[in-house]
Amino acid sequence: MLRYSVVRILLLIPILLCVTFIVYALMDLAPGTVVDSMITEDMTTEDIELLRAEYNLDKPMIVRYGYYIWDLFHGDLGKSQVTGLSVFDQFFARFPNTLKLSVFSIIVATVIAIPLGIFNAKHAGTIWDNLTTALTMIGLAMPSFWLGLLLLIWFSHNLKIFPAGYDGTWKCFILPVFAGGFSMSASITRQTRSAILDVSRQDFLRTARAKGVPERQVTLRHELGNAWIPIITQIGMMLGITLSGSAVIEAVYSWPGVGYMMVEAIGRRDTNLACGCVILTATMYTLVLLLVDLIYAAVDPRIRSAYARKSKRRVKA
Amino acid sequence: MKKTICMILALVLCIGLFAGCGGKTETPAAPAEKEEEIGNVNTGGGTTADSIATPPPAEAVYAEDLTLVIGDKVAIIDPFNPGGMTSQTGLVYHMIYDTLIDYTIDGQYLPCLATEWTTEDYQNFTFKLREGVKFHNGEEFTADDVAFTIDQGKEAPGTSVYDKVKNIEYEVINDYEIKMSLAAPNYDFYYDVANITAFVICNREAYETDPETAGQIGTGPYYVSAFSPNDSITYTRNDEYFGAAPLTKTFVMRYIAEETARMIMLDNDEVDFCGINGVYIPEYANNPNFVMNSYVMNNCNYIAMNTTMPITGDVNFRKAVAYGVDKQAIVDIALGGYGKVVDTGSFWGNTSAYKNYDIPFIERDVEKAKEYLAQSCYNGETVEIIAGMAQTIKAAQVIQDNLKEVGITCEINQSDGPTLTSRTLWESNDCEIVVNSAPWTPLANSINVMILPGSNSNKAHYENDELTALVEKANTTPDGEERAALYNQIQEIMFENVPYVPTHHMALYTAGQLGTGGAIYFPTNYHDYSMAYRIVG
Repeated sequence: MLRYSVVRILLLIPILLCVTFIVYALMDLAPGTVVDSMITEDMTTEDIELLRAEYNLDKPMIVRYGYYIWDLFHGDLGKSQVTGLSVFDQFFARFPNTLKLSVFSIIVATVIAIPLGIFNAKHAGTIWDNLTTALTMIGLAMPSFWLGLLLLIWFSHNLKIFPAGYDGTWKCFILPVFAGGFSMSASITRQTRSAILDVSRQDFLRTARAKGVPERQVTLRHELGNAWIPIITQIGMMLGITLSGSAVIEAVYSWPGVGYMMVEAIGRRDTNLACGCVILTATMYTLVLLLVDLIYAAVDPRIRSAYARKSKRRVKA
Repeated sequence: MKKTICMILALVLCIGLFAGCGGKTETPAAPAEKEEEIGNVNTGGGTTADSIATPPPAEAVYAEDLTLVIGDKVAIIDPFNPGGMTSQTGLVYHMIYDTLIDYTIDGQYLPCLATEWTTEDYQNFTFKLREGVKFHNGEEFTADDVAFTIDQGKEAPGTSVYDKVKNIEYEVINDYEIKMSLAAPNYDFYYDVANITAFVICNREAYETDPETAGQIGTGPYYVSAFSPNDSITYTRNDEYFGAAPLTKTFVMRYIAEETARMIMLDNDEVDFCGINGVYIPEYANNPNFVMNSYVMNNCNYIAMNTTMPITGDVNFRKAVAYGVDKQAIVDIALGGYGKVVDTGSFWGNTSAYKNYDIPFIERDVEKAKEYLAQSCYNGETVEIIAGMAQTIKAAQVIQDNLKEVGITCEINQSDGPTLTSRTLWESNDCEIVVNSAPWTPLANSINVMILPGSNSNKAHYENDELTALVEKANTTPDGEERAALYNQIQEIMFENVPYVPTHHMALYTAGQLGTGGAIYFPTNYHDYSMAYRIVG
């Protein structure tokens, strides 16, 4: 297990190298540079050339990328080309807000989705199943900015219960958490439903019922217990995605997170900030997926015993 | 049964979708009515209210904290950082900085950090500085800080301060007197010195001790007490300020990206001032709970035609465009009627000096446009229009539609700021038609960058030796009448050659809660909220 974790963490290095190269190349391919967003009316061509040289834009992309990677290997994510502030500091000044939003959204999504998914599976083919399926489809199809705006209009403007923007209080969490959680809950509900339906055809459930195990225990312990893997995968992926920031939710609710900062960095061609954000979020994403793998072993005895068998074989050899 | 359920679900879905589109709607006023509403005015929900310049009543009780929603992010506060210049720079600098000379909304130069200034030849200037002024870090303001600002500015290409100071040499006479010399006479130098976005005085000590936050240290009426890049700036009143003390203790500028959220915050009284766009204007203009301020920007929106490209290089084609475009339709559609169509055919700032009112406004005339098109080299090719901002993209759509009637096929290429700039630089301008907005100060010399060869703001890539000579002569002519004649001639030549078709000036609106006032709205968009207040009792 430890070996597996170490290998997964080491695999991050080539992944991040590829990610940085792709982002760097894409930023370079996009028309315009960070200097183009700084040109004032009175600047001459010589002034612009001077500025381009200051940002190394007079050098080929591969050379600039080399400088970037060299700094990266020294643990330096560089400075934002627009503000001159440390990318690392800028990212982590905002990341706690994104983390709070992601974690609470996932909790809301899970609390809604898992009972709903179980209910759907238990009532598969009935009108209730169709109704909730329609609801989840709406949740999947509904753009999050639209739901976000509707919630703003209803709860902030009409009912005046919650503030319209981020103000640091618990109240400002409710709307963005629900807006983010609702769309995620739709896909987790679908996943839970299909995972439970898959398990429900297994022989051991028939055996459990024949032995007189109460239905509630059959559902929660045997069905859900064996259906966790795809559900956890889905939740993990959702958490990974939201950790990289939901630019739309952040924009609607003026949420000071990393998603909108990354979009802005791309808009201003701030390559260092954009690359830095991508590297850090890719790292988070990979770590979340690793955590998901570890949770598999914790919730599923078959995976746990597979790991144990592998280590025994290694000891014998 | 199943079919019935499906039908019911579909119906519910449709109702849900349309419910989202419903709500209170306002019939927009006719453009003619709106035009009367626009001006540099301040009204309280359509009723007469205090004028902007009227001082607040002394006996009133004022709110201690005010919040303004800003329309663009502020990532860094530093006059020497090229990334620090945004559309909000003027707002921020008015709060924390001072210039040597103050430029008022009615065009007067008043003492600020300099108490006296003299020149004999408009090439050498002497400034006597105010004594006893302190920076926010407690350092005393002296001539050395002015010298530092000039030196530091020269090292900062890409900043507005660099543009203004790069040709200045100085001599510090004593702690409170400095002499500045220019490479050539500049009759508009006082405007440069008073420019709040370009010549604010910074503190040497602050930059030497902590360069990262030194840009937040000025001598202004407020100091920065909290700064969250891209989100908010909190200012606290500078009780040691040498000028009139602000009435508000804490002032917050917040960036709110989403327009609906901004409007809700204004309605809920979460903010005190907020810019208003298009569809929301009637709602606030007729609401007695808000004070509405509107002003016409000095900027001139234009259609630039690249004179070096085969089709747009043909003057007949350019005239066909000039006659083919309906300027009023651009204002009505792109701005929802809230703008001002140019009042002459001259490409000039709304209220900039030496505007030639004898140049006739070009009304839309499709037949005349077709005549010019027939004389041009155009042969049915697709012409590219490039536009970068939401409003200019809408304007480009109107232009595309107008020109289709004339017989010109256009394709719109939407781009962002860096793309538009990189494609329209003097060295690499490959765009045929650019729809954009030109920044105009109250001075006539704003035209320089738009028409001089080599300038990156010359989106028409226009090069005319006669015009260049006239511009250079106008810049160095002290006599007002002679200058007026030169600028008239410049505008006539431009009208004949049509590198630019001026279309309109944008009108902007700001709503404040009832009882707010004191903000000064400059047509250059560099508003001053340092004396803003809200009466609460």
